[in-house]
Amino acid sequence: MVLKPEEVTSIIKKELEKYKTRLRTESIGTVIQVGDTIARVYGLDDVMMGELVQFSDNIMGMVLNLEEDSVGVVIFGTDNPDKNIREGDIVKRTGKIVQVPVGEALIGRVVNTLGRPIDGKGPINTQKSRPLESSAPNVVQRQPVKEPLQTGIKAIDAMAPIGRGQRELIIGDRQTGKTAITIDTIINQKGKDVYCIYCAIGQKLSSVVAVNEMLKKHGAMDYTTIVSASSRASASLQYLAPYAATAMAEEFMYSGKHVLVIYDDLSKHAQAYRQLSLLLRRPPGREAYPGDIFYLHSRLLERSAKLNNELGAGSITAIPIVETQAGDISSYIPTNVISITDGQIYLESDLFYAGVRPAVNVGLSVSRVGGKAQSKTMRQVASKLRLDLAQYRELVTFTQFGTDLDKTTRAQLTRGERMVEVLKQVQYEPLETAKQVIIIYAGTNGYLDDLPVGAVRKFEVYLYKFIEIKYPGLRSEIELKNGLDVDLRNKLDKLIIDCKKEFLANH
Amino acid sequence: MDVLLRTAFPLELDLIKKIEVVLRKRFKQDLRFYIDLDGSLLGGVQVVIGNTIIDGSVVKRLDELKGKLTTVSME
Repeated sequence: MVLKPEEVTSIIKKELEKYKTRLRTESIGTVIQVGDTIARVYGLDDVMMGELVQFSDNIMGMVLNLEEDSVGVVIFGTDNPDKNIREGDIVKRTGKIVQVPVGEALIGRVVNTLGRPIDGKGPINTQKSRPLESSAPNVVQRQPVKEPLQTGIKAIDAMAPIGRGQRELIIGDRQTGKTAITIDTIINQKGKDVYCIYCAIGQKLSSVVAVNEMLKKHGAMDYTTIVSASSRASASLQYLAPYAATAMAEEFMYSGKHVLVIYDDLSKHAQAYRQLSLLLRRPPGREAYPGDIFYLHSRLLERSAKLNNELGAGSITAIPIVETQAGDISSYIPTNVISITDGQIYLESDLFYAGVRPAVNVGLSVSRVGGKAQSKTMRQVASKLRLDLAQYRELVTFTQFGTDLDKTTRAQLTRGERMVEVLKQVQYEPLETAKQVIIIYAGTNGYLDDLPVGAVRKFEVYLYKFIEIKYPGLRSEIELKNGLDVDLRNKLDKLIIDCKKEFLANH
Repeated sequence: MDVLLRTAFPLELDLIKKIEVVLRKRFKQDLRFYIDLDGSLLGGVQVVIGNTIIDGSVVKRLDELKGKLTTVSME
């Protein structure tokens, strides 16, 4: 864009004319104690709770403690923001409760908690902003969740389906693939009219960069915003990051759009809040967490909802991530978040190392919205799948005996083994619903039982290619039809049998 | 109440008297005036009363102007 000097000077002149001086009375305070990104301020008589205040050098802070004769302020910034603040410094009110810029300008950008861009692509050009804290929609403003949010992951879409407006927790130990599931879900939202916001709390900066690169590579940054409060950021920024992400999502939700928000992860969020609370001298409770640690997450997750038609029928689907230690889902923070969300996807390290990836424990994973968020076709094929897998789990210990088993048991074990193979999936390759329906139909109707277990996944890839060549309209037929009628079943049966013949001939 | 008048250059006595009249009307209290010279203000007066500041200094106006001009959005 070529800038003409006359244009620039005329704009500056116009702005200068618009500028009027106003003498304002500002309330100020004096710093009496500062350290560990917390400042104690004397004065600031009429400051509001959660208000932004300004130190010298444009350092900002937020009021978190209103006490009888002092105010506790958390300082925002990265890398020791309190190093230039001294006792006796003046603190000024800004009159604004902490707010964050929102709107379309944020799409495709990487921002910090306060909405400042950190991707080097220029300023965020938006006039709208929303306060970080806002009340969740009330009972009358909501409607039940009824549309599916396709993650593209067979294990989830079939067994623990997520709907638009639901909160589904992903819980597991470290390195079990929690973030990987969320990246696949974001990639799968391409072309589905869903905005995505990935909120990184306390993550390594390298991980955030890796996520950004992967999303860019798959073209997902065209509809995604990344809010990053990495471990470099102060505890205050980490504490507020999920609320900022939700405020950005609410802007879209109240305009009738659908949003997917991922909080990665709430365990580090709770730790950041614990750090702040202890430094603010709030009384510690269980595991040294403050008394309102439940409210911290409940007020965050309640803002994700499906709105009724009068308000535009928009929705925010929240996928929080919680990291457990040694698989202990009954410790404090995991139990808190499990009781808030509408279901959880439980990832196990044992399954991961046994080669089941995504390492979803389908027995313990549940979605309280369930079938209402699935298409009728998927519901039909998935119910049989659930049964097959449940029976397999009961019998799987017998395989370790190596004894002779009766025919029925052997059949169930064979079926179960192959269904577990069917649910395995490669990372960064989310599957569309039609393909999921096809492969689960093939599995639950016994077409895979005579294939060796190791060949199941190769057959799956072959099957998709086969259908593309021989009957490309089948996929859209499955998507559009409401349920598997006889006609569709016959078509699928014939195609799978033909494909198997070809596959066995070539392999 | 104690009032601090911070200026860049020493004020004339009648100017101080004018400020005193306005402030007494505003705060309706007995006021004790202290004067402070601070060259970084570049001009104008800062009035600090208790925990309130009325900032009429030139440096503050320049900062405001800077803020306004650097966030002009190009339509």
